[in-house]
Amino acid sequence: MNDRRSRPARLASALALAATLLGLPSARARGDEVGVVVAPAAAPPAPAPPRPDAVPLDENTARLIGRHRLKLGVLAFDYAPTEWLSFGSDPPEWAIRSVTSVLVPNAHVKGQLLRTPSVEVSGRVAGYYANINNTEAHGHVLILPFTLYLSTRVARPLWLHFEGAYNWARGSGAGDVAKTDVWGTVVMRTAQLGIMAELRLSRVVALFARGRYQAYETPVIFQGGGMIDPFTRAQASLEAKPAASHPAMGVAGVALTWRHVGLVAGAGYGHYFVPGANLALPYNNVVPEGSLWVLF
Amino acid sequence: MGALLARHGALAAAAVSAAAAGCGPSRVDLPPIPMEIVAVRSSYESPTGDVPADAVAPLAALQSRLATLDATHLGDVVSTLLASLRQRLDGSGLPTDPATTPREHRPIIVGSVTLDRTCRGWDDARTTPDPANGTIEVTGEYQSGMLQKVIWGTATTCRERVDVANGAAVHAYLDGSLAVYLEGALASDPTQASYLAGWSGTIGTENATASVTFDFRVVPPQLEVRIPVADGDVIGSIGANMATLRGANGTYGCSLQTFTCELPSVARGAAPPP
Repeated sequence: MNDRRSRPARLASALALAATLLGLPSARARGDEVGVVVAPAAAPPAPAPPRPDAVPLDENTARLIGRHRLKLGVLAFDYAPTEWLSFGSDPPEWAIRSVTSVLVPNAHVKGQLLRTPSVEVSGRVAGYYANINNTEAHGHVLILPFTLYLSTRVARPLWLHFEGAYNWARGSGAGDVAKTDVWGTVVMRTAQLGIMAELRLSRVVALFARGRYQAYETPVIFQGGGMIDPFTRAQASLEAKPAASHPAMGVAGVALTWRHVGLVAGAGYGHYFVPGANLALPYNNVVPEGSLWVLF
Repeated sequence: MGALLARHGALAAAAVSAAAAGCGPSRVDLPPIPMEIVAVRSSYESPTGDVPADAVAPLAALQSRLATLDATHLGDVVSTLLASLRQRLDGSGLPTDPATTPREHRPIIVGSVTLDRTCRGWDDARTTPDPANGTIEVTGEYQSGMLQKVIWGTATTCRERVDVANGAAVHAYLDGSLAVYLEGALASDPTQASYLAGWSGTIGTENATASVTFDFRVVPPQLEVRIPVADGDVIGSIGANMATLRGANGTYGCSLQTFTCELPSVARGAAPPP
C-alpha cells in the first residue's frame, strides 16, 4: 500500500480532505485555478440541484431543523413536519432517572415566527413533569419553559443569537420534596437571558461564545396534605430556596455542522444549566458544553 | 411575513398568557414560633432556685404534677403527635433532627408542617373520627433549612383516648395550648421521644378537669417537672423508691416517706440545704 505520490501531492490530498470535512471553499470548485480555462459549452448545463445544507445549529438559536427531518441527539430528539415547526423530547431529563428515583417525561415544540435572510425569530414551549410521590406523601412538579429566540446576522460571518426564557413551575401537593433535588437544583419560576455569538468560518466550522444569566427567580411552594392515620391529617407548606442566587455562566467552543452530523464542543465557567429544563446547578465550576446529533 | 406572524400569533399569545398565569405566592407564610418554652428550658438546664431544707411543699407539688400527667397521659399524647410529625417529615424527605444543618450547595427548605388530629373520643369502640370529639393541632417549622426546636400546638375541647397497657384506654380532656422543645431528633417510636413540653389550659379526665399551667421534660426513661420554690424553680423527678430535686444548690435525693432530702456525694459542689 505504498503511496508513490510525491510529498506535495500527498499534502495537497490531505488538505483537500480537510477542506472537505471542514466545509472550506475549494479553489478548484471555484474554477479559478491558474492556467485552466473552462470553455463554456454551446448550451449551459442544467443547474445542479442545490447541495444539501449542513445540519443547522438549532440549539440555543432561532433555527429549526428543516421540513421532514428527524434529529436524534444527545440533548434533543426532534421531528419537523413543516419548515416552521418541530417537536420532540429531551433525553437528558429522561436520563435523570438513572441517578435518582424520579422519572421526568417531557416534550417540547418549537415554532418559527419570522424568517428572513438575516433575521429569524422562534418560540419554544416545553413541558417537564415529575412525580414525587412516596408512601407517606403525594406531590407533583410541572415545569413549563417558554423561550423566545432571535437570531440575527450582524455581518456576513457573524450571527448573534438572543434568548429570553420564562420557566414557569408549579409544585402540587407536598410529596417527597427531596426528590426535586437533583445535584442541588431547585424547581423555581425563573427568567433567564442568553446570548450566543456565532462566527462562521465555513459551511462546517463555526466558533461560538455563549452566556446565560438567571435574572429573576422565585421558588416554588409545595402545599399539600395527606392522612397519616384515620384521625391525623398533615398539611405541609414548604419552599425550597436555591443555595445560589442569580446563577450565570459563559462558555466558548466550536460547532461542526456536517451534512448529517452536528457536533458542539466547548467549555467555560459558571453554573451549569440543565439543557431544556433550564434548571441551574447551585455551584460555580468548569462548565462543559457539548452536543452531538444526527439529522436524517 | 404578516401572514406568518399572524399564523403564529396565537401560539405566542398563549405562551405569554400561560407565563402570566404562573404568578402565585412567592413565599410561604411562617407562623410565629412561641419562644417562651426556650426560657423554661433554661430553668431545666440550670435551676434558679435552691432545694429548701423543708422539702415537703416541693415534693407534694412534684407528686401532684406527676399525678396529673399519669391521669391524663399528656406525655403519651405529645409523644404520639411527635412520632406522627416525624412520619410526615420522613415522607417529604425533610430533616427530622434540629441539629441537622443543610448540606452545602443544596436547596434550603423553609416552611411548616402542621398536624391536624381529630381526637379519638371516649367511646372505646369508635374507630372513625368524629369532629365532636375536638382536635389537636401541632406545627413544626423549618427556617434556613433546619427543623426548629420549638413545636407548638393547640388542643380544642379534645376528648382523647390513650391506649395503655393490657388493652386498656385512658380518657383525657385537653383544651389549651401546648409548646414543645425538642431535646433531640424527632423519634419515630413514641417511647423514645425526648422533649420539654409546656401546657397551659384545661386538662383532666372524663370525670374531673382543672385549669393549670405547667411543664415537664421527657428524656427516656426520665420524667422531670419544674416546681416553683421561694427563690426560683427546682426540677423534680421520681425514681423507683425516691424522688430527686435538682436546684441551684445541688441535686438531692428525697424520701417520699419522710419528705427529707440529702445531698448525694456526687453533687456538683453544692452546699446542703440550709
